Amino acid sequence: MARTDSGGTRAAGGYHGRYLRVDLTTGSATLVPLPVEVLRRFIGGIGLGTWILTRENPTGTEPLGAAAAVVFALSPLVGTPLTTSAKFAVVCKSPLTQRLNDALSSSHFALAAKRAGFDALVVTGICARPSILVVDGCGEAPVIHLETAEDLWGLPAAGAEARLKARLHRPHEPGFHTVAIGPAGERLVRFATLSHDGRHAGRGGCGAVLGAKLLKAIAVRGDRQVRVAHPEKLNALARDLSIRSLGPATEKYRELGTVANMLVFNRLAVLPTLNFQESTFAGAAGLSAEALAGTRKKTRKSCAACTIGCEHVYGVPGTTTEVRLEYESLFALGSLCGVGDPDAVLEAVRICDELGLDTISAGGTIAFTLECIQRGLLDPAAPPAPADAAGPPGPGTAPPPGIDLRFGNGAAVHYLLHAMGRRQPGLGHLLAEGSRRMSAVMGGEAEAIAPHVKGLEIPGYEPRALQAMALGFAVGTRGADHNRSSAYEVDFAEGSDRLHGDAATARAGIATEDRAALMDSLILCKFLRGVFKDFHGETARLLAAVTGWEMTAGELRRSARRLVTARKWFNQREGWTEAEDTLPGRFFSTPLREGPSAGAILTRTGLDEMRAAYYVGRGWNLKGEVPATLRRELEIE
Amino acid sequence: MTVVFELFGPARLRAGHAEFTVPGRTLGEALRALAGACPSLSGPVIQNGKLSRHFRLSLNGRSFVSDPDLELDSSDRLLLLSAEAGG
Repeated sequence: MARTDSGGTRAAGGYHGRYLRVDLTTGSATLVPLPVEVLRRFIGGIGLGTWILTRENPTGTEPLGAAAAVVFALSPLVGTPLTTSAKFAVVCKSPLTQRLNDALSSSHFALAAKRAGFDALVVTGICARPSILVVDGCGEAPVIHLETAEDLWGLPAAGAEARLKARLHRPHEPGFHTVAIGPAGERLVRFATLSHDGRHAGRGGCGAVLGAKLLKAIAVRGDRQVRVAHPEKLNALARDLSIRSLGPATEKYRELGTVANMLVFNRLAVLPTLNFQESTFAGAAGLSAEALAGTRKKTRKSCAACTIGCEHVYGVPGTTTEVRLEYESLFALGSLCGVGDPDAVLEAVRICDELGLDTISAGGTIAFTLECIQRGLLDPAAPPAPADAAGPPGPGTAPPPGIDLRFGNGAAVHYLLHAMGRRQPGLGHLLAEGSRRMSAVMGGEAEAIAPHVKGLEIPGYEPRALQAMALGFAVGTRGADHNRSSAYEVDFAEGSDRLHGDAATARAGIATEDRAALMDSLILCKFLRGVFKDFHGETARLLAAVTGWEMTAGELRRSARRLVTARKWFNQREGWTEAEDTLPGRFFSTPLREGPSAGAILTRTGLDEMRAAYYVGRGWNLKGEVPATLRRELEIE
Repeated sequence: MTVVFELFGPARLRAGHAEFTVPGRTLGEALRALAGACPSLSGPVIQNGKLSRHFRLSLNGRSFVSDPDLELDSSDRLLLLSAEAGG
């Protein structure tokens, strides 16, 4: 058992002013002071996580090596009465992209970690055997120890969490809350998730980073209250925000969930289908929120401290199985793979939850595989071996599929999910590497149709017909990513031509990306976006009430620029080049054919124009590099 | 002259129908007619012939419009969507 000293700086309200660094190799822990000026500049969440990772993860560190650091970053708002604030960011170098990865998740783990007395938890090193990291923050200073995970290894994350919580339960004491990886993380699948209470920090493979450390789970508890600078003012602001969060701005998420996008995107012909070969799907109506709700039991759930309740959990008819369904999972395992049977899609999502797979990357990699088989680019009976695989293939031999590996066949998707999630020898081992590495092994035509940017599979927004999103995908620091850019807001705005992006599109995209960076650092749920009428002014008041700082909208705007550029600076240190800020060749060579998006295509000159305007708007040079003067101006280092 | 509104998401839930055909030469007239045909949209979705900021109108699936003086064509289809596109 390792004790830490109780050091740290007396920080502003909402902060503890320190982070906890745990070295799994030695089993030791250290509390590291966080200067108040750093907290003010980087706030929390992905911002603070990036600042810490830049220091804790030496340039060039192999993401699955012992030296790699993974940061669990909280925020000043965690533990306050502000709706949707019970969130944490997981920040690491991605084994999928080799670039910065920041994934968010929610709920009681964030609250428990905050009560443990630190603003972030940094995990480095590697365990000698499969282990659990237990962080006990009840008392003067956090105490850590490692426990065996031999009995949990191989379990789904949900099962491991349940057993662990029971094991650690002490009557009349604060309970532990946990994050865990599933079998895919253990097998170093490059897009394995980390999950807490069924919610995943999904993108970029942070589950594999923990798997490489032989760390099955982290359990944390604490008993510290978070000091708030102006409690009465904060309570009034929190009440007002909660009331507004129940209004029309969040109605879509409350009543239908993100799945509501399915019908809309199909109608606009922006629904990625058959590995981006089409933009409408004949089976969309059957997968819609409206159809699903009419044919099966549905319940609505919320994260801790949330008034919106966007989670729509569907029952699988004839079973006791319940599946939390989001649009991204529905598109990736549905239309993208040509699967229109809702039960088959729900089962696919359940398998991803069980194994701990990012549904977008899993679906994208499978859709790519199916197209390669369709085109004769891949023989599923004799797949090539991956180069530099993250881990060894699983034991034994893979069972033959015994099914037709083609678009539209739900059983094929299920087979491939099990194969990749367990790294079964052959096809599974190859798919576990993701579409970029698969295409690099196959070469030629495969590289133009592999649906990724920087190695991260593309989410459910057709880039030829949503060209602000195309730019957002291209320049995104973690790869093809909708959440960090939020550029769909530009494509869906009046006055915007979603089929023809230009410099103005890029400037508008900077504004949405800046706002997303602030929300992900504060951390507040993006589904609150429409609730704010004066986003920067209102969030400045929230932050001021918590911290006691005299915060202005202008300071937050400057913070947003800093947060985005700091993330880019991490990538630049890791070897980023301008050539990465692009999209797969398909989007420049093959126009869309259907509906309101017919004829839509990206051009190299069009993307170059948007990208150049984006770089200039960010204050970067024309190659997209962050100048030293800007780093100093924004106080990034 | 008539135009067709296609309703999606919360607007469809409120209205209980996926589609309405209403008279209107301009967008403002058409929105007023829609609010008249479907009172449950009046207020939360359509206010005084204008769309609430929480909703969007797509003209034929291409551009997004809100100008009440916009002249419509009889072949136009107006897609009434939530302003929230996040997923």
